[in-house]
Amino acid sequence: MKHLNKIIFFLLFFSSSYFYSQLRIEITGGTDEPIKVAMVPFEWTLDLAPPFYLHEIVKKDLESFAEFSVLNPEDMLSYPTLEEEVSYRDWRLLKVDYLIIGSVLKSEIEGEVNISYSILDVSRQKNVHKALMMGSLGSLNRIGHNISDRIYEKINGIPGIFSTKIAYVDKPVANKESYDLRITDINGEGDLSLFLSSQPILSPDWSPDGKQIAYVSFEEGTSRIYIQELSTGNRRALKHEKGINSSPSWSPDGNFLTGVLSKGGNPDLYLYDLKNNNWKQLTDHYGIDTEPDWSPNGKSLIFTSNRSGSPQIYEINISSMRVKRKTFEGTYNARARYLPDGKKIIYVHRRKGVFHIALHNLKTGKISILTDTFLDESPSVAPNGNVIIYATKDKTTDTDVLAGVTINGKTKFILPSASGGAREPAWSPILDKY
Amino acid sequence: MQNLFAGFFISLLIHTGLVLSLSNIFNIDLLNFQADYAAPIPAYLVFEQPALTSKKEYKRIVINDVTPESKPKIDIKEMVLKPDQEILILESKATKPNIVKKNKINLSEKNRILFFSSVIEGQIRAVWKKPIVPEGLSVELVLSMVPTGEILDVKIKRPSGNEAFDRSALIAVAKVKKFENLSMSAKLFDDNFRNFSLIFRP
Repeated sequence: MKHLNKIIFFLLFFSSSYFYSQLRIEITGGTDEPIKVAMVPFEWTLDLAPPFYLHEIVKKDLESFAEFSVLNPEDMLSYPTLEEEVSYRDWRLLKVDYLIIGSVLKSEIEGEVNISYSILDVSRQKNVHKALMMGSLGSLNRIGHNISDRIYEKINGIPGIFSTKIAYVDKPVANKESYDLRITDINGEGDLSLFLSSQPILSPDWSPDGKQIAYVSFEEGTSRIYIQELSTGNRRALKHEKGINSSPSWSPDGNFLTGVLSKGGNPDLYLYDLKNNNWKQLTDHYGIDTEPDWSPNGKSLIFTSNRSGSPQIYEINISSMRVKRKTFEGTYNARARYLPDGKKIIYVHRRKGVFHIALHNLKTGKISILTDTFLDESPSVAPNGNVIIYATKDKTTDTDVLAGVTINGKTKFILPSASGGAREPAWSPILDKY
Repeated sequence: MQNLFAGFFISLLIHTGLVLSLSNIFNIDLLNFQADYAAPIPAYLVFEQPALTSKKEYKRIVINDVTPESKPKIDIKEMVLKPDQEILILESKATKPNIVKKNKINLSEKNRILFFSSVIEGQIRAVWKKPIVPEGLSVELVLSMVPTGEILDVKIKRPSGNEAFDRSALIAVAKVKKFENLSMSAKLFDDNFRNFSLIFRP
C-alpha cells in the first residue's frame, strides 16, 4: 500500500508538470503577400551568347500561379554570383525572402554545360539549397524549368510542376478535319501531336511513370482503348469487348487499367490486367457506372453513377467491393478526380443550371466551387495537387479552351491553345525527376 | 483492510491538494509574497515636518501608482496620522506610466498573458509567408526572449516533417527579430515570456 501511495503521488506529481507547461502561442495564418524571390542573372562563361536566360525562364515559371513575386534584375542593387559576394543587408532592404545565385560554366565535354546555383535564405543568411547540374546546351530550356521545380519545392514544400505536360484532344474546327491527340508544356510551349485520326479520340490518361498514354479511339468504327508509348509512338490496343470500351484510368502501380465496358448490357466498371490482357468485372448494377479514377493509394476508385436517378459520385473499395455514395448536393455531379492526398476530390458540379468545377473534402464534406466560367468539364489535377486544368468555353471567342485554377481558387488562367478546339485535358505525373 | 483504504484515500486527498496547489490552480503565489516582504519600501523622505506643539492632524498622501503585480496592494485612502509623523510620498516604481494606466483596468493575470500573446501573434502573422503545403502540418518553435522583446534564440521543438514549412516559421521569427509593445512587469515576463512556444499551422 505504501508503494501504491508513492506511485500515485509520483504520477500526480509528474502530471502536474503539465499545468506548469510553457506558454504556447498558436499562429494559424500569415500574410497573403507572395514570397519574394530574387534570381540574379547567372554568370555565363561560355564563348557564345546564351540561347535562353535561365533567370527569365525561372521568373516566368515561378510567377505563373501568383505564389511568388520575382524581382526584376533592373531593381537589384548588385549581381553576386558567389555566396561570399552577397550583401544580405541590400537584399533585406529590397524585402527579398530568397535569393538565388549561380553560374553556367563551360564543361570539358563539347556542347555540355555545368550549372551551379544556391538558394539563400535572406532573413537568416543561410544557404538553403546548393546544386550542381550538368546538361547539354540544347536542353537549357528544360534545365531552366527543372531549376524552377527545385526552387518551388524547396521554398513551397510541394513539388514544382513546371516540367510536367498536359495531354489533350484537339477536336476538328473550321479549317481542320481530324481529331488530334497532343501534348504541351504547361506554359503552352512545346505543343506537339501524338496521334491523328478522322474519328473521335477521347479520355487520355497518363501512365504513372509518364511514359505512356492510354486513350479511347473510334478509328475502327467502334470505341476501343489504346496505349501509346511516348518515346517510340508505338501503339497497343487493349482486348476489345462488345459495346462501349471507354474511360481508361491507370492504377497507381501501373499494372492495371480500369475501363468501362457495356458488354453486360449497360456500362459497368471493369479492371484490365496489363500482363494477362483480360478484363475483370468490378461493378454490376443496372445503372450506368463510368469515369473511374484510382485513389492515390490504389485501394479504391471513384466513379460516376446514375444508380440513384441522377449522376452522382460513388467510391468503391477494391478489396471489399463495397460501394459508397460520396455526393449528395445537387442533381449533377460527375467526372471526379482524386487529389494526390486522397482526401479531396474534384468533379463537375451543376449549380443553378451552370456547370462548375467543385472541390470536395471527403473528410469534412465541405464543397467549394472553384471556377466562374461556364460549361466546365473534365477536370484534371496537377501532380502536386495545387492546380486544376479543365476544358471550358471561352465566351468572348466561342472556342473550346483549356483553363486552369489553383486549388485555393485565387489564381485563374487560360492555356494558350492554337486551334480553339481543345478538350479533355490530362495532367502528366511529375516528369524529369532526376 | 478498511483502515488501510481510509488511509489511502486521505493520502490521495492530501496529495491531490498538494499537487493542485503546486500546479498553481489556486493562484497562491508564495514566492511573490515573500519577495515583496524582502523588497525595500519604494519610498523616500521628501521633507521632514518640524515637531509641532499643537495637536494638528495631518493627512498621509498615498499615490497608488504601483503596478498591480507588486503585492501587497496599497489602497487609495486617506489615513489620519499623528502630527509627529512624517509625510511620505510613495513613488511609483513603474517606468512606463502608460502601462500603469492600462493596468488600472486591472486585468487578471490570465488576461494579461492572453493580451501579450496576441501582441506576439499579430507581429508574427504580419510577416509569416506560409508556403503551400499539405494540410494538417504544424511546427513548434521555442523562443528565448529578453524583457526588451528581443529574441535571443529560436529552436525547433517539434518539426512538421516538411522542411519548407519549418523554414518559413523560422524566417518569420528571424524577420520579427524584436517584439514591440511588450511592456509588462518583470514577474509576468519571467513567468511566461522568457521562454515560450510558437505553434505554426497553415
